Amino acid sequence: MKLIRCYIENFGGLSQYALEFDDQITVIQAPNGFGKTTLAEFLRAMFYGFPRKAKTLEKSKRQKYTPWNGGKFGGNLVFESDDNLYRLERTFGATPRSDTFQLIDLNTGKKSSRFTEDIGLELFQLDADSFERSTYMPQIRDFDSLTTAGIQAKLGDLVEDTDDLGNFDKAMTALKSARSRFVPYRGSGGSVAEASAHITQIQQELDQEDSLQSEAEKLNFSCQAQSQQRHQISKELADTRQKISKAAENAVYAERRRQYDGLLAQLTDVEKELELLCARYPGGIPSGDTLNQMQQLSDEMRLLSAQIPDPTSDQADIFLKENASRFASHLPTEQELSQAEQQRDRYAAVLAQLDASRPSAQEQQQYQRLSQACLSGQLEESRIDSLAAHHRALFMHRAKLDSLSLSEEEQRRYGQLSQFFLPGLPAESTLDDCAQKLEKAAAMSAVSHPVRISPLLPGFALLLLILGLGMLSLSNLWLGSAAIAAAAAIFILTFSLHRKAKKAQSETLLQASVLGKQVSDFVRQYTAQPVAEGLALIRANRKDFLSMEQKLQNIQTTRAALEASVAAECATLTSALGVPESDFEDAIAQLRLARERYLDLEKKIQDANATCNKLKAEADRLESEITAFLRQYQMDSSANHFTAALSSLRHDAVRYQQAHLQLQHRIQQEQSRRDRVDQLSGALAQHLAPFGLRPAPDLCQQLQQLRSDRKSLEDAQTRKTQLSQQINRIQNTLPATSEKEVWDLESLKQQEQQLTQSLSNLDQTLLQQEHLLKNLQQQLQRFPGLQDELDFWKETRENREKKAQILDSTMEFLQNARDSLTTSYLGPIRQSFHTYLQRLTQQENQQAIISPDLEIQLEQGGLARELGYFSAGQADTLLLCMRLALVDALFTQEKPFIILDDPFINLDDRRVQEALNLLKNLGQDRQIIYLTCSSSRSL
Amino acid sequence: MKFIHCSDIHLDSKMERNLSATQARERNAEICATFARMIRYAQENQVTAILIAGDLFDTHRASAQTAQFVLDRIAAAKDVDFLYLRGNHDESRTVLEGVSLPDNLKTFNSPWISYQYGDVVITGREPEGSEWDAGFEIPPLSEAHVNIVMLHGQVSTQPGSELIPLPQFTGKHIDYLALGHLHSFKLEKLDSRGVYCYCGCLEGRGFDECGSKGFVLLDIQDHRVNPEFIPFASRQLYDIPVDISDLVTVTQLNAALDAAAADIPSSALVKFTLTGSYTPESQKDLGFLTKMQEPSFYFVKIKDESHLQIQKSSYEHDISLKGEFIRTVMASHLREDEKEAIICCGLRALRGEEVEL
Repeated sequence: MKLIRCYIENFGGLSQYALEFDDQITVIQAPNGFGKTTLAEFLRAMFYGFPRKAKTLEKSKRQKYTPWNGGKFGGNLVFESDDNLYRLERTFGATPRSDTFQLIDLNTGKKSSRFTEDIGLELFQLDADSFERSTYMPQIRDFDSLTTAGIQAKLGDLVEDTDDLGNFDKAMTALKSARSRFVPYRGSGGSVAEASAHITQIQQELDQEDSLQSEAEKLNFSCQAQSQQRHQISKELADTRQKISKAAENAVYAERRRQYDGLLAQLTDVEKELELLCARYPGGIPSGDTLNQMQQLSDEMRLLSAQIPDPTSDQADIFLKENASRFASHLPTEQELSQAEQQRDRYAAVLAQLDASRPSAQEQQQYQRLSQACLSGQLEESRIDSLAAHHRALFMHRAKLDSLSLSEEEQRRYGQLSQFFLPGLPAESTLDDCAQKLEKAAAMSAVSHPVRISPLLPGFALLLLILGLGMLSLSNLWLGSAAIAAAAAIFILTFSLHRKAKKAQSETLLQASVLGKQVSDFVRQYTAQPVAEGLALIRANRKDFLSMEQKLQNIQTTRAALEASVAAECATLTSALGVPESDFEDAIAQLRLARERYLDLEKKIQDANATCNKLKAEADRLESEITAFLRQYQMDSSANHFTAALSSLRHDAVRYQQAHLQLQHRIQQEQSRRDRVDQLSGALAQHLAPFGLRPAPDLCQQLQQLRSDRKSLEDAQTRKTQLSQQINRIQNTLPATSEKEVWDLESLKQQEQQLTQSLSNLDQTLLQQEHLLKNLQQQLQRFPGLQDELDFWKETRENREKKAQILDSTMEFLQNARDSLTTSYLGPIRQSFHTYLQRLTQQENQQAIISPDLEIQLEQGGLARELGYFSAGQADTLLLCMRLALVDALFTQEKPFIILDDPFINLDDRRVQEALNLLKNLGQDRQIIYLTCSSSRSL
Repeated sequence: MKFIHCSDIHLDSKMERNLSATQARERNAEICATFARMIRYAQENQVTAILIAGDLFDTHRASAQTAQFVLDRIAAAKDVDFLYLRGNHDESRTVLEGVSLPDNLKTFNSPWISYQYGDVVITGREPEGSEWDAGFEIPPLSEAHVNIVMLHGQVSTQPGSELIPLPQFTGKHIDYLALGHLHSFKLEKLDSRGVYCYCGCLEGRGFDECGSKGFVLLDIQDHRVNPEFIPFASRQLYDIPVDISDLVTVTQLNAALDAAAADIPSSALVKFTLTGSYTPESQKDLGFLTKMQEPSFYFVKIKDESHLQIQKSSYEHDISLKGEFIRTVMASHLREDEKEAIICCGLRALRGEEVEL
């Protein structure tokens, strides 16, 4: 890579500045303020542009190098790379967005894409900072260290292969971030601390377990003690209640004794009552069953006496007497009654059949109406057929009339032709005349060719003219004049002929035009087509029009004839039927139906009359037979009341028979009742006899007294038994001896109340303590879960600490790896550094130490000292050597240019000279741009 | 006659540690529900008694509420007896102290105690302290009876802490030795007459209790005990190994987990154990994979037992920070798992990826 030339349009204080670079050393010697540093910055900016962000104003080079006098900010740079010449053009705006970049391949003159806007990085494989720190040596030394990640990457020749060294910082950042999540580098927090906080909190809660456990045990002991106390009080209470029970028992015994004495007195009274009853009935009182039997006998006797009826009030007897005259001789049998009823039913059926067989009134009315029509001849079959024939003819005429008309296409065509011939229908002769005119005009146009004069005459005149002129030249004046005169005459003649012919042609054409216009005017009345086609169209349309008019005329003639026929038929039918034309068909059909109906009714009425006569005869016979049957039993009835009469006869006959039977049955019953009353009276006497008693006149009262006494006896006996049992039962429960120990029931009850109160208080206390114990137990039940949680967090903390440790170890290993990698490239740098240092200082024993971070320390007085301990000149010398060594190490294959911005300002004259010699030497290998303000430091 | 042999129900016990607090409470409730369901099973199948061979509760963890629930259920099942022998986890019976026990809940003690149901005699003894003493000798059992013996501990050839010296129980006319302590079903021959059996726990609680869980139904007919294991757990735990060798992307890894758990019901608690090797480029993100699998199961946990595979040739001559880093870590004296974690972490950071551990 080699710089060829540059042109600065405007950059800082430099404006329209051009510079050609030497292949080896380009020395720019100029006073301070010329812009040497600006030039160096221009070169850097051409390759790297300006950084997008700058932290300080001092570092904001975009602002710093904005043209002082305004104008276009930028310039171009021509350089050589890989034997190709390129021109790099950049302009800068107020912001990076307005910057421009262009690279032109000078061999082709076209834009090149060989490098992009990041040309510095692509060309040198170094970022801007690394470039500045290695190939550019400014005056101001503000670098704490020469190393950057970019330089170290280049050192390892790793830029093109891997980017892990470039990612080292990112990786370390990520690892630190991850580690901070577990254990932060500063302050508190992190997931390990979080786990510790959980552990502390849970441990604090668990610490309460022992005290809670102890409290629970104490409470449990207390509960048990109180339970024992409760048991003791309960026992005392039970004893007291037992005493109360015994005291109450003594009171019960006293009450029972009183009851015993009362029962003995009642028993004595009952025994006296029994003695009185026994004295009243020495034979005893009949038993309840006996009394019941006697009561039944007495009741039956009373009932039988009451059941003997009064013959005068019996309805059956009355009925028998009233109907004796009707049925005494003969009571109608069931068979006779049924036969009469059958005859009655038959009679009713015949009458109903008779009614059904007669034609209905509507039919008779219809028959009479149709008979009148038939008699008037309206329903004659021949008349109806004639009317039907007329109707068919009318129909046919109508159909024919409907079909007589032009088709739609013909009507449309006829309309078009009528419109076409609106100016008037031309006669055939007119059309022929027009055709002739047209032919004539065409013939005239055809014969009017342009006038042509034979060339012989002018040629001959010309020949004569030439001849005349020849003659004149030969001085033959006469012949010459003649010839010329003849030539002139011939010319005049030719002209005259030509003019005449032209006039004749014009006239012919005018005539033809007039004829054509006449025909054209005629044709244009009908059509816009050309004349010949128009005339043909008119002729064809005329023919069609005439043909259609003829057809229309024929249709009208036929239609008139048909309409006359239709009118005649309509008149005939209207007069015959008396209905409008639309109802002809229905009226004829009605006539036919009426005729058929008339014939049907006529036959039906004849059949009905024959049937009615037969039924009438049967009905009369039946009526007389039923009337005769009824009269046997004194019943007169009209035919309409046969049913009621027969029903009444049947009812009376049955009732008469039943009354007769009832009369006989009643006579038998009266006899048997009298016999039964005698039996009952005897039986009662037998029942009373064993007890020394006789039936009293008022048997009912006697039985009632016996029953009452019997009940008194039984009640007294029952009471005596019950009282004896009660006396025995109480006697058994009474103590044999009286209780010796006597308790005061009231004092016992007070004692019980006190004990109950104590027990209640104790229960309440115990309940509270058990409640407390339950709460404590519930709290204690939390501890296994808390212990699990504690174990979980301890394990979690351990895991997190382990992870943090792994992250720390990872960072440590990564750092070591990077240091190790860097150290492996320090050898070449150190070797190169010492070579340059010896060449500059001419001191072979000068010992310098290069740290892995490329920090320089120089041994002096047996101690390694940093640059700060040395003079500015010595420090500059060391830094120059380090830069040259770095460049050697960085660029092993291609040597880039070096910009030295007055680096030897601090060197003494000897070292300046040595340094300049060194530069000359280095210039053989690489391009050097050396900027200085002093002629003493100039090459 | 039928009996149920169950043990190690561990009511209110500590659950798998990765379960959320809500899930742990839910699982404890489910174990209570399964216990109640077993009682219903006993009632529906005319079971005479349920033999609980220890560890009904977890010592000091059981709540009064749970104890009350158990006692209420037992009291409600009047037609079924409950023979409760304490185990090493419920030796103190803390939750039942001071509480009146239902009539159908029968307990054991240090001396041998027997209960008889027809010709079936059930004998049991609780450990005194934590060791079997010299008085361990079982009292003579009648040859004519069907003899069931209940104990809690680990079978062994010698006596010791929580050990059951099995030789002492041979030739004693024992038909069925009902044991508790181990959490998986195991049925072995005791002697020419009898068998010994661990019924296992009712419900698995941690991934050391995978597989089918339930109780043993003893159907005694013609003086013969016919034991049948009845799977009864409401949820099952699975430990599924997944070889992640050659899998790089998180999609591939998740697909491998899906395939491995294809036949497992959604009610299950699943632990995936990643095995095999992975490269530094692997996107083995356990948090992400766990999130991906969580919707498919009641609980998901991923344990990583895979190891980082780095070929020495791949970094030996790699002149880069990555190569230098790997070389430096591999040359250190850290444990292999620490080296793997550091290398994965460092490479992820160098790739610019988010560093998640």
